[in-house]
Amino acid sequence: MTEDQDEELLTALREAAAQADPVPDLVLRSARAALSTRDVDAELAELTLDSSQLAGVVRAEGDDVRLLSFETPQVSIELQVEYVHGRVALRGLVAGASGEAVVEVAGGRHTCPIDEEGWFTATGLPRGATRVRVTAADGTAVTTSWASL
Amino acid sequence: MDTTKLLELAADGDQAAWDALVDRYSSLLWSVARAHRLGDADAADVVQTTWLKLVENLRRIQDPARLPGWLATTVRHECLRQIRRAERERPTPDDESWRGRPADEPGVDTSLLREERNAGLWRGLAKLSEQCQRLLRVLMADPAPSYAEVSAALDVPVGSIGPTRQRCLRRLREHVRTEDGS
Repeated sequence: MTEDQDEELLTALREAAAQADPVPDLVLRSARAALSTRDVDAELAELTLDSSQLAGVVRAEGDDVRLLSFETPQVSIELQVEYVHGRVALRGLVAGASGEAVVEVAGGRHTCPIDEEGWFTATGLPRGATRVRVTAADGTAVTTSWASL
Repeated sequence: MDTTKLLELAADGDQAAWDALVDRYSSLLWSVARAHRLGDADAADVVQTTWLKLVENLRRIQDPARLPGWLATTVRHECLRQIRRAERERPTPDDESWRGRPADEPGVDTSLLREERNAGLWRGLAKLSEQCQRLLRVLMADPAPSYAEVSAALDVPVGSIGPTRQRCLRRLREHVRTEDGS
């Protein structure tokens, strides 16, 4: 078969995909809305550990907790994630920041007080992209990178 | 408008520029998610996470010309993350869409297809090897992705794409022809 015929077949396939499996409207709408999460002032705390990605770790029966760690030079945020009936329950431990943790998920923000030991909790969250914003001791806003929970 | 300009404007909060990027690359991201056999909910999730990560990194994209490659790599990582996570988790009703999909079922209602020829192609696709299905699904993105983008999306060498593509399309023709003859 010639290169032209291959191109023709791919064009037909592209058309078939556009009909049978187009990008859903909701996906496009959410993508356009994503720009509103632009946060030019905040410092980014990068993901340094995600227990769900560690190979070969044998977990105890009934141990469904996923651990994620995020860090900047000044702040660390650890998240313990549990899945309860398809919803997400978060327990966070913050070092280098205090006050409130703002948990951002699709369709909402949840403000959670951080206790003296650095813990905060948020429950009943939807699954999907999530991030947490805190204020460092020196006043800098710090936000975790987005993680899909 | 070129990608560099759109990225600059979007980094300053220009919604129209951002929408243009979304319109240009959503099909690529969705195709990569489907090539990894993610169901509707998981595919939507990895695509959205990829866009959010782009917003997060708008000022950090070193080489704007490589944005589609960056997007393809990022969505591939998110797909693998989702697959690994689902494997480790106990199945919940939310995971059924992904786990419940048989390997030979493209997962869409073929009655939606306008033309019988396209329906035949779509059915033929399901009979191909997993490698062929993955590659062709990414190549079906609109606009057509470059080989560099396909390489980033599937973590395969650029040089392997042409020969694999040729072989997969030949197989597909054979399947479609067999179906017509029966």
